[in-house]
Amino acid sequence: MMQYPAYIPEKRKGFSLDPRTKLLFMVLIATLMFVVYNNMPYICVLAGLPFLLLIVNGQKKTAVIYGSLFVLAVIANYIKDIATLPQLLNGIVVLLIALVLRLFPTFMMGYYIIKSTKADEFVSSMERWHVSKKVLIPIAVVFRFVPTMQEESQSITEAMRMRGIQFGTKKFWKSPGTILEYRLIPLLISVVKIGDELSAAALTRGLGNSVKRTNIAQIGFSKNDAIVLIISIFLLLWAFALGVMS
Amino acid sequence: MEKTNKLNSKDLINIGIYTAMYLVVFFVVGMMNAVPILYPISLFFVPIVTGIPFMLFATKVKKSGMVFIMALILGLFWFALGYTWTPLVSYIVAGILAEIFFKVAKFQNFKLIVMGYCVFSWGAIGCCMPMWVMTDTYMAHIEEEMGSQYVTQLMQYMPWWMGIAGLGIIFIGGLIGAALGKKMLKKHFKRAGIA
Amino acid sequence: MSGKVIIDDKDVTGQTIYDFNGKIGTVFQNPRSQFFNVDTTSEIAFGCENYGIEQQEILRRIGQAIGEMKIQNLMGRNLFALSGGEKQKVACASVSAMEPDIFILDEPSSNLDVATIWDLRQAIIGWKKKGKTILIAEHRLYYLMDVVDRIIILQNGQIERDIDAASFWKYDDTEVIHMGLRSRNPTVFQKIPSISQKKGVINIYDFSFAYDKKHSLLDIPMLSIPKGSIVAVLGHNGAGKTTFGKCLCGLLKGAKGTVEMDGVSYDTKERLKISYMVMQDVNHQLFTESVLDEILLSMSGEDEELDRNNAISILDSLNLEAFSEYHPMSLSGGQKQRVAIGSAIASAKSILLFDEPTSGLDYHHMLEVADNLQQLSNMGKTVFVITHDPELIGKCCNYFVFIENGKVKWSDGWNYISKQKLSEFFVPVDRNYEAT
Repeated sequence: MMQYPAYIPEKRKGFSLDPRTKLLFMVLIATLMFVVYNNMPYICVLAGLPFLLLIVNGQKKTAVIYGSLFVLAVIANYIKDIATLPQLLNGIVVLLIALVLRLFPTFMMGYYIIKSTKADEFVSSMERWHVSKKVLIPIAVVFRFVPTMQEESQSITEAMRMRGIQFGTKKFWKSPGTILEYRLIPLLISVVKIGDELSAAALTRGLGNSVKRTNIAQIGFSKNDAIVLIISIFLLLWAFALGVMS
Repeated sequence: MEKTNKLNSKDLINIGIYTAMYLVVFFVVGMMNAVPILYPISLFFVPIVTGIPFMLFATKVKKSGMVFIMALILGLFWFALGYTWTPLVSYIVAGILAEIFFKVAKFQNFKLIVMGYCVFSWGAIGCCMPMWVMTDTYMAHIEEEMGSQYVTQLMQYMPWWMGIAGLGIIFIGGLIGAALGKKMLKKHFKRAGIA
Repeated sequence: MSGKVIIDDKDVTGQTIYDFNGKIGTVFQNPRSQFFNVDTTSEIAFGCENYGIEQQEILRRIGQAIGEMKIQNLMGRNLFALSGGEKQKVACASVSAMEPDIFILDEPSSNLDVATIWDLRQAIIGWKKKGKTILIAEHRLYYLMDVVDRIIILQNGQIERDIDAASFWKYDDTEVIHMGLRSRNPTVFQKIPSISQKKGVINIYDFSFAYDKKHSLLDIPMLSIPKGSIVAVLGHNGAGKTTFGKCLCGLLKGAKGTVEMDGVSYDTKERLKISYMVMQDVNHQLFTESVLDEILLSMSGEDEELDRNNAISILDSLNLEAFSEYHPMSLSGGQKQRVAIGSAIASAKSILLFDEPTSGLDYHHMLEVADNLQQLSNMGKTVFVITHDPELIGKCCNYFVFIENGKVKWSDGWNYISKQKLSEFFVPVDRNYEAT
């Protein structure tokens, strides 16, 4: 029998972070957003960091969309007292500015986390935090099933188009509620069936075994995580300084 | 197979599958969230539609902890997605309350399970809370800067009792959703042999 | 359940799956539902990780498994982006990496194309050489005939025969067919039904589709198909057969090209009205709560009484009348497929496309599908079948389209040359493979 060399995992490319670092950084940003709300440079820096992470991770389009909306809100925030708008419109504009300024930093960070984190890295790093299997197995399954549902949903959409089941047709107006039923029921049935087969396959490969799991995911504290740590300390100090001043 | 009340791998996989369903359905219906003015409407519709996957899930729940774990994962997910830590808190609380209802229902009593679902759906309020809290603090800041006429005006759209009204809206949506879910169970899932 | 299981003189009855400690590995039929992870590398490591094997040892085993399965190029990929055959290879590798003593394979070939079946065969031969016990549940026999040592035939839950491979060879073909088994030899194409009558042609012009400018997935300047024929759409996995099918049915937004039939041209959007695809996973296209409703859904709904009568006669013709009040999802796979066919007939579509209608079917059910296709063709419908099943082709197809890299390599009716080409495609010579 032929012997093959051991597998050498590919080195992680780009600016990769340990999933734990990402989560902790999220905690930090979310908390700071609650605490610091009247210092525009600070808010801009908070938004800039996840923006950079998105760019580095290759989500340029999303980064640009979020980024430009944020910049727009910053500009609007400065000129809002110059222009006089009708009361109601003015109210809505101020509200939107508030939402964009205060929530986009965490939204950008969230998008970065979802896009950059691989299921096995996440599960392995949470195992190091001693998070229970009872939470980690379902989370791994969620990672697996969200794309499954997209895939299944795509086929069902195609099947609906072939049958002429669509918004706006004559059949649709007869009973608009049924379109939801047609959309959802085959999808759920399909996913349940896949789930049953998946359970069988996962069990035969020892999922839920009481032995302590090992893993080959490449996680751990790296130079990149250290950079984020330094930035975090800087942000905290800055926030503290702002607090003292005001 | 020995019967225990401990969660086995099959249960855990089921939690994952139904959490994924709940999330996807939530997301699709919650698209309306893109426009903040529509919050009250999506608060109403989300629990109606998620009632279908949840009531299907409820037929698989026969052990303690399943509903709570689902809530916990949802909270974690919204946290990771950037909705700050308020949904994490709200889903943990909602999950514990729902778990109590399921326990008292012995996983069978339909009325109590419906209550459990409505309470579970309350977790979603945490996704809106950052908007309220954030805009609120921002308003306070504007008030300092530019006088109170802005703020009183805005408060008409974001009154403090919106939170409680939100819970009420979710509860009614939840009742309808549970009824819809039960109807679908009878109409499709039972006859298709999967519930 | 009752009974006893004895492995290595030890009674293991009543042990849980974990007690076997990874000594039994299973490959399942459906490549889409048996992977747990999102990327290939974690999937192959998954079983070993669950049994707590050391990291270095896992890496060694992964290296060995991917070498044996020849899937180095698939490492680190997203499983959702792989073809069914590739997924199945990853599944084999992930079981192989657990280094079990006993392999159980549940219809492993049913979703594979010809070339991949040969790869699977090599993997089985490799395991056998290492002294593993391999149990394979399978309808397709030809690729295993010189690999297996013992054959057990089950019928109605009982062991009908338990014989060695040599004695099985002595059975004659009719007996094998009678037991519902597929051919023991690679299919030899003999007589293929000719196209019943000249009904005109369907012309396809300028089919093209690309996700981006560089990668063209489909490029067919011109293709003529006899109307009313049963067309086998052939080619390897990833050649563009499904893309062609979706384009034909008007499901690909952004696809270019027209179909001309009876002097009328149909563009992509218009083709949705004249064509229908019966999907490989037919669960996706059944929406209602009863079989009858499913047929009615495809009808105009203007005259309910008339629709109802038509629907019932369609169900009759498909042997489904007894199931008209059943929930479609509670039916068997073959019945569901017939419901989908019924809904296509009801909507008066003239082009029907089947995506792998016989994967995982035994001989009798395969014949049933062939009959259904024949019936549709007799009704004047033009039927396209994307298939890897040579026996189905031999039973009913009378026109052939071979697709490679998104282009039509050849298309022809039944004649000496096409017979030659078909045989070459379906009976690959054991190229560069180790002999048994």
